[in-house]
Amino acid sequence: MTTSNKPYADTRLAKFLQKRILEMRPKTQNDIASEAGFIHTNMLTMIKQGASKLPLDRVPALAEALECDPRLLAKLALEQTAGATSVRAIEEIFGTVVTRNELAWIEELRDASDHADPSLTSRGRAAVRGIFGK
Amino acid sequence: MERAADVPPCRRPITENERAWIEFLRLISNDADPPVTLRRVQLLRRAMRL
Repeated sequence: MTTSNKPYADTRLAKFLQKRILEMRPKTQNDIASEAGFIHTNMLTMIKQGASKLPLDRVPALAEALECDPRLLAKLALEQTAGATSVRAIEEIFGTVVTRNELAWIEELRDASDHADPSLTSRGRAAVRGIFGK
Repeated sequence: MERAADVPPCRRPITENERAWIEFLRLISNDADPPVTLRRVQLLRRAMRL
């Protein structure tokens, strides 16, 4: 829940960090912060809790420390900083940014649809939900 | 760890429809960036055939 001292608590980045840091155990949060080059390890705590934004220049090192795709972290950080609309505009200019896994999904979708470029219909949504048990 | 720049670009540009699929995947997976697995591909192909 967003409060005045945690303005970014409801961002996708904060939620991603909370989950991913837990998944990295036994590596500790301090280990991750140190590997990512944060001078003060509590900075990562503040970002995770939504009190601060993730500086974009920390993205490559933090992605490596979290063992996640840097493109994913970069998109979440950019969205946190500039907003989803701005990210969309940036992607219109520079091209859609996808992770390595997402690229594999796109290639499978193309192959499964015989390159028909299917739109995401309600049936497609149900298929994705079914794949992930949602 | 690979650098983002080292991953080869998509063979052709990602379409608006594909972008919608990926955005939905992100939503359903809570940004977990799930990998493609054989089982998931089988389920996807089955759904595309229906």
